Amino acid sequence: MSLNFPVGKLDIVPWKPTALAMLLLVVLCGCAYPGVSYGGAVAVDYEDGYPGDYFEPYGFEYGGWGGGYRVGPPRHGGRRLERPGRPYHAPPPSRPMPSIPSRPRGRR
Amino acid sequence: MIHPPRWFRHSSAMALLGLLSMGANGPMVAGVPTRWPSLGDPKHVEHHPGKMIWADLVTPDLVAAERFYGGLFGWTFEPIHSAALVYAVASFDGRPVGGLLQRTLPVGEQRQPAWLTYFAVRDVDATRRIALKEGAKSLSGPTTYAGRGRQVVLADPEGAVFAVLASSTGDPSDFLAVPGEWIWSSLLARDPARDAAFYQKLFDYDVFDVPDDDGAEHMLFSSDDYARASANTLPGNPCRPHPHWLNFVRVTDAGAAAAKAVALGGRVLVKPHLDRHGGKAAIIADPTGAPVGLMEWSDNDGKGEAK
Repeated sequence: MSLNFPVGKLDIVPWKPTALAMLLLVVLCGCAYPGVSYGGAVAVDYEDGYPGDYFEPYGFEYGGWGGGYRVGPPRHGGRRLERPGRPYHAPPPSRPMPSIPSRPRGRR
Repeated sequence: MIHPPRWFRHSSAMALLGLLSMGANGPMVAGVPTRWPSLGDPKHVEHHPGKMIWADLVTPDLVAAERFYGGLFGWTFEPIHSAALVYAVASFDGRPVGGLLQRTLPVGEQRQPAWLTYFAVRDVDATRRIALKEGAKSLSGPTTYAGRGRQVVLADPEGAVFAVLASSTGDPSDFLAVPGEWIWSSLLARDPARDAAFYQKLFDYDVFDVPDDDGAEHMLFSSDDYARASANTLPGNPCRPHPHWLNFVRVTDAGAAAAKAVALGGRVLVKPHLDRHGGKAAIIADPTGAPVGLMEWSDNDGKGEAK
């Protein structure tokens, strides 16, 4: 189908199944999220606003925290995994996993 | 929407300030009040690269924030106000724990107040160089503040914003946080393993791969043989990724603290639940929406992990 305009001709592409599928995917996933790129919107500077306009994109996602989702520090000697091919350097397996400082304040 | 950065809009004034206060480490901002609290013990200056040593809340309502955090954690506040600065240093039991900065939310944008996490480094410029080489972005600075040190704000390769600070008074000693103090920091990321490699290059962390029950990745970062932070698979809708750092304040009772947060105008984002160490953790939002974690921690160290 085409429409004629004074400045030329506009071709309207018919609906295609793939385009419809992509549209549905985007809608279902709710992917129209606010950009997380900070670009030039952040200036963390004390005098010119210490620390500036540090505002995060709206809408944190915490709904997916299930019962097994854990973020806290382990106790001393907790179990650890040894997986090859990781992008970081892991300490030797003999090294126990550390915990947070346990020394009460005031003791040196 | 991309706005011109504030440093660009005010570059002339900042350049003048820099020229007036050029120090050995480069520009030093003279217009900022010099009543920065000492982070370290001047009698025993020590450095702990990779340790979370400061946090700044950027909020549109400083009074409301003081009322909330003071009521919830018992923090007290010392105002630092000038023509260009509405700021308060938050302290607990006389020890500084962070800062609250009042800034106006950008008009027409859906943006959210948040806490900015600062990690200790010895050399800000060297850290920045490594970060940029590894895919980070530099958002502000480096800048030197008299009485505080030199700092820069970065976004890691996934976009999580953090700051590094070379404190001129050294870093706080490694003590067990008492209730009301920061006890833990977690990075919520799309690819914790890759981020672990990034932060390892910055802070020379030891990285431990910790098993998790639900298949999520959990990387433990340590330095000085102390656990400093973690990186976790970002939960929730994978189509709304929002990598960020989240800090936790130690509380004696996460349930009671969460209820108190609600009574003070906040919200519960994640209900108190048992975490790895055997205590409960929760996430709340302050009245303006800034998320903050609550974490119980018993003094009975070495009892093993929660099953």
